[in-house]
Amino acid sequence: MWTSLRTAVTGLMAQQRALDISADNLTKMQVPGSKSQRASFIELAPELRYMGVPDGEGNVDIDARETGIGVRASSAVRNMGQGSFLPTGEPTDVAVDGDGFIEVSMPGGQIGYTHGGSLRIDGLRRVVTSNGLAISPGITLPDGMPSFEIKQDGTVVGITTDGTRQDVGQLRLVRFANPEGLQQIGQNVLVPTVASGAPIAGAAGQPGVGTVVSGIIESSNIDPREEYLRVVQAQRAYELNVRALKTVDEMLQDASNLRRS
Amino acid sequence: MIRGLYTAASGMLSAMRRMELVTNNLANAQTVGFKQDRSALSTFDEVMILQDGTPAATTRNQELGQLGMAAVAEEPMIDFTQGAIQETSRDFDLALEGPGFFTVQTPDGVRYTRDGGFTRDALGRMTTTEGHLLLDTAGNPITIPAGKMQVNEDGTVRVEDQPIAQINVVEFTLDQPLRKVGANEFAPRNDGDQPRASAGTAVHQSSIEISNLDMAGAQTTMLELQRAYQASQRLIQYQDEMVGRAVNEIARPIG
Repeated sequence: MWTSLRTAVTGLMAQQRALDISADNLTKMQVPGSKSQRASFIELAPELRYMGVPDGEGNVDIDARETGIGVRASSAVRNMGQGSFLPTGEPTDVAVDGDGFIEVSMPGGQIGYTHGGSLRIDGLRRVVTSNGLAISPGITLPDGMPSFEIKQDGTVVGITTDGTRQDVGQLRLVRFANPEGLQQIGQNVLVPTVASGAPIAGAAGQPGVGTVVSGIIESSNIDPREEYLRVVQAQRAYELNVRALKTVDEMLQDASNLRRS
Repeated sequence: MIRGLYTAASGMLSAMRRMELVTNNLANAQTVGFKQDRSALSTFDEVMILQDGTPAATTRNQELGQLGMAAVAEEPMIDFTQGAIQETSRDFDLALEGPGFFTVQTPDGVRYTRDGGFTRDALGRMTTTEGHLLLDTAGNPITIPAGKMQVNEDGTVRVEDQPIAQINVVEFTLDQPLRKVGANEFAPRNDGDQPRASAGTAVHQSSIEISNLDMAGAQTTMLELQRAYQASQRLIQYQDEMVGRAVNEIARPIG
């Protein structure tokens, strides 16, 4: 009898989770390279209820019947699909056209991975991402080289004040067996997990790695219309479960009012 | 008279029991590949009511007719109606159109599912969100090498245009009932039942099959159950009152 109450609550919690994830997507919509996620729901394994049922010969058998007991949210599913490319004209804006990632080193020496962004030169003349993470292995521009550009294979070319170009390093590209399993830490930086597998060294142009494109920023692949649809669906489902909860509550009230004073 | 009390109580119990089923359907309104349960009521075997011989009767134990003694909720039936197919723009989302199921390897053996929101494990093998391996027609996991993955309607998986595996899509006949085992998966109710390849099922990439819950139907059922529950509750109260009157008033001395 209390099962229905519990079941309706599992529905509420699951829809709440879907709304949380959609809200998260919507806040990240303007962040270059961010990827959409969605909640995934798992129906709970049915429980057995024992009840008296007729056996067809005038007797009553105790029989086990399966009863569904609701739902739970499983890990969110991330869509690693490519976002659209927005031309910026800045030769230091890069994106990976493919599933490859650019290696960066994080404070503390840990290695992280990014799918692109606006690169710049920091005070130590190192090539860093827009949030200050150094490209790994490190690339330092010599004095007298105020700007740089990136070639399709990831080569970083330094440009001197008089316009001469010189290769100063190369972005290291890797891929993962399961990029959806990467864990996002901070803006646009991902770290490998047990689910993603270890990074697999790759080179620009290989299948599954792709090429480095410059003068471009990859926008997020979060589609506001898709999010809106999910929010509406989650809201409706939430309402339905609230109604179920109320109905069961009223039924229980009827049960407790059986004995009239 | 007291008999009716039990019949009415059984009406309340079965309404509550069917409510459990409706709340489970509603909780899974957004579960990918979910199939709603449908319930039915049956009555306990009707019993012959006999009237004990009255002083004036010439025959003893006169038959009064049949009386249903209780209502009982039947084993729920899974409604395998096709759910709507929704596009997602995600390569690893697969939806089935037709009667088939994906075959997945679980720690408890092979199971069947219509939840095609797949992902991969650290070895690049396709799995469900619960980590159960998707199987090909040879019964092997499907490892996706580097590159762009495409899935054709017949279940052929291609990477960089090279076919690498054929997803095993199977179906069961009507006399091979299925049961839910959790994780959006099904298993045959009878262990020996083997499915056959499903030719009439198409695989759609970048789509998912949403829950086939009939929202309007579920709400109507919910209302109907609540009313049935109330009606049974009133019946119990009336009978309680009648018994009360019989006890208190029949033997009341006039005066």
